[in-house]
Amino acid sequence: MSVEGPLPGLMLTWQIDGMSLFFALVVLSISSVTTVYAIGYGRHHHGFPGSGLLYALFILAMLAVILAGDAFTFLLAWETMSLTSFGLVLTDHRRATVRQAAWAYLVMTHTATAFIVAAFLLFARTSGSLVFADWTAHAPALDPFVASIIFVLGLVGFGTKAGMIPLHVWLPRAHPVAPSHVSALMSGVMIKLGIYGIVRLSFDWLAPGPAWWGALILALGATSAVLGVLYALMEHDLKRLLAYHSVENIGIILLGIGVALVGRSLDLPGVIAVGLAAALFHVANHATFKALLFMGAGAIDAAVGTRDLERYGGLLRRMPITGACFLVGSAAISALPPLNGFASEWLTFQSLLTLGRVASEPQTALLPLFAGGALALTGALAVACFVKAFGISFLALPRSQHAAAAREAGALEVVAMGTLAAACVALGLGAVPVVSFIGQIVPSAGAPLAGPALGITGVGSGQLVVPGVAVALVALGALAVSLPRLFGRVRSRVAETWACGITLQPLHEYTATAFAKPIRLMFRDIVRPVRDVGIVHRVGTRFVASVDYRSHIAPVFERYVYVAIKDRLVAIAHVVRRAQNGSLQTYLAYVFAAVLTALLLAR
Amino acid sequence: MIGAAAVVDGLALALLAVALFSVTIRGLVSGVWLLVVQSLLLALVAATIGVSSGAAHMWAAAILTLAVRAFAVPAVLFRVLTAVALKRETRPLLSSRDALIVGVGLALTAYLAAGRLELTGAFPARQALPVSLALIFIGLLLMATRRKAISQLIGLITIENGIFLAGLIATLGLPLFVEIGIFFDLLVAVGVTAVLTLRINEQFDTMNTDELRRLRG
Amino acid sequence: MSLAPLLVAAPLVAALLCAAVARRAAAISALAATITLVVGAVVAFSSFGAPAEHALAGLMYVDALSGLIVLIVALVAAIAALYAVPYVRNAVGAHEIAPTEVRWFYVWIQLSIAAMFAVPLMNNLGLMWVAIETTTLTTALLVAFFRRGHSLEAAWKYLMLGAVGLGFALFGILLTYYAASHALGEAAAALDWAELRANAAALDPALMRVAFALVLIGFGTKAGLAPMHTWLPDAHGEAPTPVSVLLSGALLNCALYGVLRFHLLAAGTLGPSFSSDLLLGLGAISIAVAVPFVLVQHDLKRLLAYSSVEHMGIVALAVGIGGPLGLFAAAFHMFNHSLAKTTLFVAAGALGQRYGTLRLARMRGAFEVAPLPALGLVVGTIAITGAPPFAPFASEFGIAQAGFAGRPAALAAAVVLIAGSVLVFGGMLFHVLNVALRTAPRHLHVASFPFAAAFVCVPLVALLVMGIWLPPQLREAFSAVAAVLRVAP
Repeated sequence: MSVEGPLPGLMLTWQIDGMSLFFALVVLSISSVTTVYAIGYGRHHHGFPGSGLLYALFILAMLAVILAGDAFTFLLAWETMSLTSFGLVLTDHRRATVRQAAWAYLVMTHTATAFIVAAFLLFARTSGSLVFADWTAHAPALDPFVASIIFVLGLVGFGTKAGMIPLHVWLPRAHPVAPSHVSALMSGVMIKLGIYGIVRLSFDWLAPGPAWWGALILALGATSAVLGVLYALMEHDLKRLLAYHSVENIGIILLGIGVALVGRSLDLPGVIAVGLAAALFHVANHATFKALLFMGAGAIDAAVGTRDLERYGGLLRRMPITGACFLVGSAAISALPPLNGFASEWLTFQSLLTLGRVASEPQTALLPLFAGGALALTGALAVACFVKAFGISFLALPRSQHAAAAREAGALEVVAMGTLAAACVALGLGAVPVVSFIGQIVPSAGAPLAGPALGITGVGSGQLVVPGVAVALVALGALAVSLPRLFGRVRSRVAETWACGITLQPLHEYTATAFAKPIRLMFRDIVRPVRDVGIVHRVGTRFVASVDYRSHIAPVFERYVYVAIKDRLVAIAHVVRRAQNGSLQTYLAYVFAAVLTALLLAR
Repeated sequence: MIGAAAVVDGLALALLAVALFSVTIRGLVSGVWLLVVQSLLLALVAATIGVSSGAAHMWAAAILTLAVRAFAVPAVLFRVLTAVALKRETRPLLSSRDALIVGVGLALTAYLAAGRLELTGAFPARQALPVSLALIFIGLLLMATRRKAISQLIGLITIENGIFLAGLIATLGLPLFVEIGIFFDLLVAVGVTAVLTLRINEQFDTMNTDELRRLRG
Repeated sequence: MSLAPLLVAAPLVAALLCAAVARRAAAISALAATITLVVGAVVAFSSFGAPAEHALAGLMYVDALSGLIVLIVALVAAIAALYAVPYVRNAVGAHEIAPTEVRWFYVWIQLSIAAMFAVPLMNNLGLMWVAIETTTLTTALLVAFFRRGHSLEAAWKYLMLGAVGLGFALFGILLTYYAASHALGEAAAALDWAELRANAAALDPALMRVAFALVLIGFGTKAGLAPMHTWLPDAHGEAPTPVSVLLSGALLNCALYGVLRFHLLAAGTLGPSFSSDLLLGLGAISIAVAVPFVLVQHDLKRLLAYSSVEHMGIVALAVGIGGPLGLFAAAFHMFNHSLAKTTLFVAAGALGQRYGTLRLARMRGAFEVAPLPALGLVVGTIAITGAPPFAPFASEFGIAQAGFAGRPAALAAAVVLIAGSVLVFGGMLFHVLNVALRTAPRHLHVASFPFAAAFVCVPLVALLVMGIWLPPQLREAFSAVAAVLRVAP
C-alpha cells in the first residue's frame, strides 16, 4: 500500500505486521481511555483553541509511526507526533518553566530525529532504498562497521524518545507540565514508540550484530531503571515523580530487549523469545498503569490545585474512587502480585536468568546477573516510592486547605481510571493468555510457547509459573494478615494519638521529603541531594519565626551535559559573532580573501 | 601594430601611476580630478585600439568613456562634494607613505598573478592586463583604507576602470549593447551612491563611514 | 510568441504609471504584480515540459531553470506588492514614510521587479550581469527608503559590497567572453547562453577555472553565500518589510541563478568536479557561518536574514552534490525557501508594525497581539528549519539522501547540513517562541493587516501539502530543472 511522495522515486509506504499490530493495540486502547478522561477533564479545564485537533493529530501520528513502511513516512509521522505533543505541552504557556520545558523537549527530540535521519540515510546508502522491507532484505550484506554506526545512531535517536538515561532529561520536565491526559499518552504510549524504533532497528532492519549491542542496551537499561527510580524517590512533585518512573520502566523494558539482543548475537532463539516477550509485555503493562497513574495525578491536581505532594493528605476520604484506582496503579507499578507489573517484571527476571544460564562465555553470563540485581533493587525502591506517593497523598490529615476541600473527580474521569485499574488486574491475572497472544502476533517473541519444541528447556515452565507465583505470593500475604486474626486475640482500641501534650496538626505529619530521607542518605553519592534551609528570625530577637526546608537533587545530567553543551555553543556563537563587526572595511577584506582563496583553488 | 601596442602599454603604465598617486593624496577634489585623468587615459586606450584594429565599436567605447567616465561621473561627484562642503580625507587608516608601499606591493602581486594567467590578449599589449588587475587591487585598497564615503566611491570606480581596461585589451571590449548596459549601470550606480552619500551626510552630519558601524552581529 | 517580454515590460509600465498617477500608485502596483503572477506562471509552466525557446529576437532565453526563477519571482513579487499596500499605509500612519514619498516606493518596487524578471530571461550573460547590477541599485534605494541611520548604513554596505562583488563577476564574465571568442572565433554571440553551453567543451579550461571562481565569488556575494554575506543581514533586516520579502524570497535566487549558469558552463568545460566541489564547500561554509548568528540574535528580521544565508548555502550545497535527486531537491528547496521565507517576513513585518520594533527582547505575547501573524511566525519557523511534515523537510531530506549516497565530500556536506539544520532549528525556535508567548506589552501601535489569513495560512497549507504530496505540475517542473542542471560526469 503506497502513495506517491514529494520526491522522485519516493513512495509513502504503509505496512502492518505483528509488531505494528501489537503497538497499534497499545496506542489505540490507551488513547481511547485517555480520550474519555480528556472529555471529562475538558469540561472544567479549557485548552487553547485547536488543542483538541492537536490531541487527535497526536494520536493519529503515533499510529502512523507504527504503520509507516518506509523511512520518509516514518519521519513525517514521527516528527508530527513530536510537534503535536510539543503544542500540547505548551498548554499552560504563561509559565516560564513550561515554555523552557517545551522548548527543551522539542529541541532534544528534533536532535534525536536528526540521528534517526542519519541512521536511515546510511541504510539508504547501502540498500539504495527507503523502504523498510528492503533494508531487512539487504541487512546481511551490510558492512559490520556501518551496521554498528547505524545501531549507535539509531539507539541515540530512539533512546531519546524513549527517555533512556542519559538522554532522558526532557522527560521529567515536559511530561509533568502537559495536561494530564496528554501526560498519560506521552508517558504511557509515546515513549514506547522509542522502544518500537529500537526493536525494529535491532531485530528487523539489522542483521544479528556483535554481542556488545545487547550488552550496551542491558547496561543502559539497568542504569535507567535504578537511577530513574532513585530520582523518582527524591521528587515531591507528583507528576515529575511519575515521569521519573517512566524512565525507570523504560529501563526495565530495555533489560528485556538487551537480553533478546544478546540472544540474537549468540543465535539463541529461546533467549530472544523470552526477552522480547518480557519487554513487549512490560510495554503494554506500563502503558496501562502509567496512564492510570497520570490520570489519577491529574484528578488530584484538578481537585487540590497543586502537584506538590506536601500539600496533599487525607484525600482517600475525599476522593475514594480515585484513591482506589491510584492504589491499584501504585501496586502494579511496584510490581506487587497479582497485578500486571509483577507479571512482566517476573518475566524480565526470567529472561535475565535464562540468559545467564544459557550463555557460554563468562562475560555474557555475568552481565545479566548484574542487571538482575539492578532490577531487584529497582523493584524494592519502587515499592518505597509508591508507599510514599500513595501514603502522603491519600492518608492522614489534609496538609492544606485545598486538600481539605478536594472533591471526587467527575464521572468520565472515574470511568477512565476504573477501566485501566481493571485492566491492570486483568493483565496480571491473565498473564499467560496475554503472553501467548503476544507470541502469536509477534513471531520472534512467540518461541517460548513452543519452547520445548525448540530445544529450550526450562524456559517454557518459567513462563507458566507467572500466575502460580502470583497466587502463591498473594496467599502468603493474606496468610500474614489473617493469621493473627485467626489465632490471636486482636483487639483494636480507638483513642487519640498521644503527642506529648500538644495539639496535633497536619504540620506534624510525616512528609514526603522526610520519608525519602533514609534512601536519600543511602544514595547521596549518586543523587547528590541539595538542602536549602532558610531560617527567618523574629525581628530583633533570636526566636525563630519560620523554617523553610527544601531538599532537591542536583540535576547532574542537565548541568554537566546539556546545559554545558548549550552554554559552550552560545559562548562560541558570541565569539564568532564578532566577525560581523559592522565595518565595511572588514567585510571587503572577507570578500578579498574569498577571491584570493578561490583563485588559488582555481590554479 | 607594434607601435599601437607600445602606445597602449605606455598609457596603461600611466594609468597605474595615476592610481598609485591617488592612493597617496588626501584631497577629495584632487581625487576626483585623478579619476578624470584615469578616464581620459582609458578613452585614449580605446581610441588607440580603435585606430590600429579598425574595430568601429571601439570608437563608440571611447566616446562613451569620455561622456560617462570622464564627464558625467566626475560631475556628479563634484556636485556631491560641493553639497557637503568637504575637502579632505581625514585620518585614513594608512599614512600616505604606507598606503603607497602597500599599493606598490599590490601592483607587484598583480604582475605575478597576471603572469600566471598567460592571457594572450586580442591586443598584444603586455602591460595592460597586469595593470588592469593592479587597478582592481588598488581600488580595493582605497575602499578598505578610506573613511569618507566619497573616497570609497572613488575606489569603486577605480576597480571598474581596471575591469574596463581588461575588457578593452583582452577582448576588444564586450559586445556593444552589453557595453552600453554596463556604462548605463555605472552611471546609475554613481547616481544612487551619490544620493545615498548625501542622505548619510544629512542624517549623520558627516560623510565619515566610521559612523556606519552600528549594525553588528 | 512567448509572453516572456511582458514580464519585464509590465512592471516597467507600472513604474511609469505609479510615478504619473500618485494617488493610484498602490492599486497600480498591486494590479501589475497580479498580472505578472499570472503571466509568470504561464511562462514558467510552459517552459517546464518544452525545449528551451528564444524570445524577443533572441534577446531572451527561457528554459526550465529560467522558468523556475520566473515562477519564484512572480510569486514573491505578487506577495510583496500586495503586502506593501497595508504595510505602506501603516508606515504612513506611523510617520515613517511621508505621504508624498509613497509613490516612489511603488516605482522602485516595480523597477526592482522588472530587473529581477530580466535576470533569468536574458540570453546574453553580459546583459544578465547588467540586470543583476540593476537589481542592486533599485533595491539599495528601497533599503534606504526610511532614511533612518540604520537603513542608510545598511544600504551603503549593500551597495558597496554588491558593487565590488559584481565587479569580480564582471571580470569573470570578461574572461568567459575571452575564452569564448577564442574558441568560437569572431562572434557577437560569444556571450549568448545557448551558444556557450553548446560549445562549452571547446573553451580554455585554465581560463574557465579562473572565470568560474570569480563569478562564484561575485554572484555569490549577491546570493548571500558566506563569507561574502555580510551585507545581507543588514539590508534584509533594515529594509521596509515588503522589500525584505523581495530580497530574501526572490533576489537571492536570481543571483544564485547566475552562479548556476556559470556552474553549467564550467562543468561543460572542466567536468563537474571543480565547480561542484567549490559550490559544495561554499554551501557548507554558509550553513556553518549562519548558525552562531541564529543562536545569538537580537533582531527578528536579522534572524530571518541569517536563515536565508543558511538556505542559500543549502541550495548551493545541493547543486554541488548533484545527481538527479540532489538537483531535483535543490530546485524544490529554492521554491520552498522562497515560499516559507516570504510568509515569515510578512508575519514579522505585521508584528513589527504592531510593536513598533523588531528587537526580539521587546516583542512578546504575539499570540495575544496578533494571532495569525504569530501563528505564521511559529509554524513558518518550524517549516523553514526543516521539520517534517513541511515541504522544506522533504527537500532537505532529498538533498541529504543524495549526499549520503554520493562521494565522501558530499556525505560530509550532508552531515554539515543535518547538524546545521538542527542547531538553527533550536535557535530560531527559541527566539520565535519568546516572541509568540509570554505576556504582551501594554503599549502597542495601531496597524491593520487585512487578509492576514490569506497571507499567512495559504502558504503554510501549501508547504504542508507539498511536504507530503507534490502536485504533478510541480514535480514535472523540478524534474525539468534537474534535467537542465544535470552535468555530464
